[in-house]
Amino acid sequence: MTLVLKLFISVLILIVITVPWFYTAEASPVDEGLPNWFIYSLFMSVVFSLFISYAIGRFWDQLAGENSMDSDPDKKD
Amino acid sequence: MEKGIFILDSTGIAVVIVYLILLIIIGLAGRFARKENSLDDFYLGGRNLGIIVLLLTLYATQYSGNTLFGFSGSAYRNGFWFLLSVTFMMAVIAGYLLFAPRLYYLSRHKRYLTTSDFIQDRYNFRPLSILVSLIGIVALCNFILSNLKAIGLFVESGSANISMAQGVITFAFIVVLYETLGGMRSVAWTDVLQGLVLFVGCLLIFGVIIFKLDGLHVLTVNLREVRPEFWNPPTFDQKLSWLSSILIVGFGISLYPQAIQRIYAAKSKSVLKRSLQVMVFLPIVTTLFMLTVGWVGAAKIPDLGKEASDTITVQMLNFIITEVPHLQVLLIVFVAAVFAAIMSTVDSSLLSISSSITKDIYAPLRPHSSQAELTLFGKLISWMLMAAMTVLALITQDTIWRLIEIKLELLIQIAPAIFLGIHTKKVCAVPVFAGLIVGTAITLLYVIAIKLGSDIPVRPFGIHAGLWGLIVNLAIIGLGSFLKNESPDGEKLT
Repeated sequence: MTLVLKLFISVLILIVITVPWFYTAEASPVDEGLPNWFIYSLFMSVVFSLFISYAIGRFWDQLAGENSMDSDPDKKD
Repeated sequence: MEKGIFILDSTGIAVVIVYLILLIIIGLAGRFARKENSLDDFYLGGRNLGIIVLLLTLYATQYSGNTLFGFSGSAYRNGFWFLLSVTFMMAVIAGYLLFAPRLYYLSRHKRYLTTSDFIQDRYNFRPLSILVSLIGIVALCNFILSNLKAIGLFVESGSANISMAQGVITFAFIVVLYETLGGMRSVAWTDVLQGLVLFVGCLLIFGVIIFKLDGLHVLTVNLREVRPEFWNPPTFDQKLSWLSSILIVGFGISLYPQAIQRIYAAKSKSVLKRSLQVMVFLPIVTTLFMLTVGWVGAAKIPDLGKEASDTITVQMLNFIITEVPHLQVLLIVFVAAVFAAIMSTVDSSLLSISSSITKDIYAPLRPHSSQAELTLFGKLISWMLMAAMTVLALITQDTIWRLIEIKLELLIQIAPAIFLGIHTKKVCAVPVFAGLIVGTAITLLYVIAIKLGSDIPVRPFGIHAGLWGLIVNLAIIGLGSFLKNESPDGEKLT
């Protein structure tokens, strides 16, 4: 599996889990403060942003393919 | 309009006039800094944007009048569910992660100017690159439209005696003036000022709401009394729609032609990397803060109708200065932020459309045109386009959020051509072209059917029509490329 595919799948999974799938009206009694599902989703969004920031720093050069064998931008198919 | 205190009183208007004059001066400075009369210099600022300029121009371009009005308006109507907008603004940067590194690298070697330059270089199929260009143009026209509409609504509801038409015409004129003075350099430099003002403005209004209006108490106690349904977890359909919105908007925004041009315009790889690493956190201090305005607004000013709810931001400003009059001077900074957000987005979109029409459509028809002639043609396009958009902004009836969605549902259709085109040689031109046509047609037909009053859901099964179009688009590309099997091996293009 290529790096970009791994990253794409990671991004998709993280996006999917930012949605509060497991919170339902029955399972989320209204207490005080903000809704639990809101806090969960906000927290997961922060995790998502941390991952993206890390991935940009860590994998940029590999994604750019600057050093790979087929990186020559003038090479034709 | 009912009588009351308005944020755009004589002091507010004076500040706005000074601000607009500043923008024109910066635009002039961009003009004098021009190094040559070429498309590269005019549309990409000589590919020399440093970290501060690039970060702030990306920020000012990505956050627009839609953020300040559309998002808060939607938060007002939909409640905490609209938290999804924070995630999709982060997903934009995830989109960049997947294609910007390679695209930037290629653009340095191949001197791309527009998105279509990459498409033409990768697929060598003119109908495809023209179609990508046309979709970008239509999407950006929609973007300009929604932003001009936002500025008109703001001016009209924030002042006692300025009409929407006066607001739209004045701001459209100023934007097209400084944009045609210095192109990308003027636009990026004005974006520095506009980005700073936008950032400070969002911090300010959030701070005022939390500390002066006891925002946390309003959010957790008062709001529940007025809108208890906000506390209900989203239904399954809403969750699907949540996911669909993140995918459509997040990846759609990353494909904005003007954002791609900023990738090309970065001075270096590290400048671009650092800018994006910061950008991913900005939804927390921009989008989330504006959503808070909408939620607190729902408690403080309930019962606004659908269209009026798009003015909740300005209604809250008027409300705050009525409650706490001595804050008016501070809140005028937010007024400037509103203009900054809108103008920076409109100028970038305008520049991008102008470059697409000039480089992708006009230049191939007139191959012997000089760079100066092409640049002049691009400027004329900007003026004509802005005139048309001004008229449309005054007559369109859609809510701002709906206009954003339509634009992105179209734009997302070019995602496979770019994402797959960058990372694999296995997709070929004709299936990509066919997929793009069918995906776009599905999206457009659906939007038109709803416009004509058809009794079909806006989002079938909670998923945007654009995403259904994208699924068909991808299926056609997959099947077509498999059958054609032109390039069975290899990973990267060119």
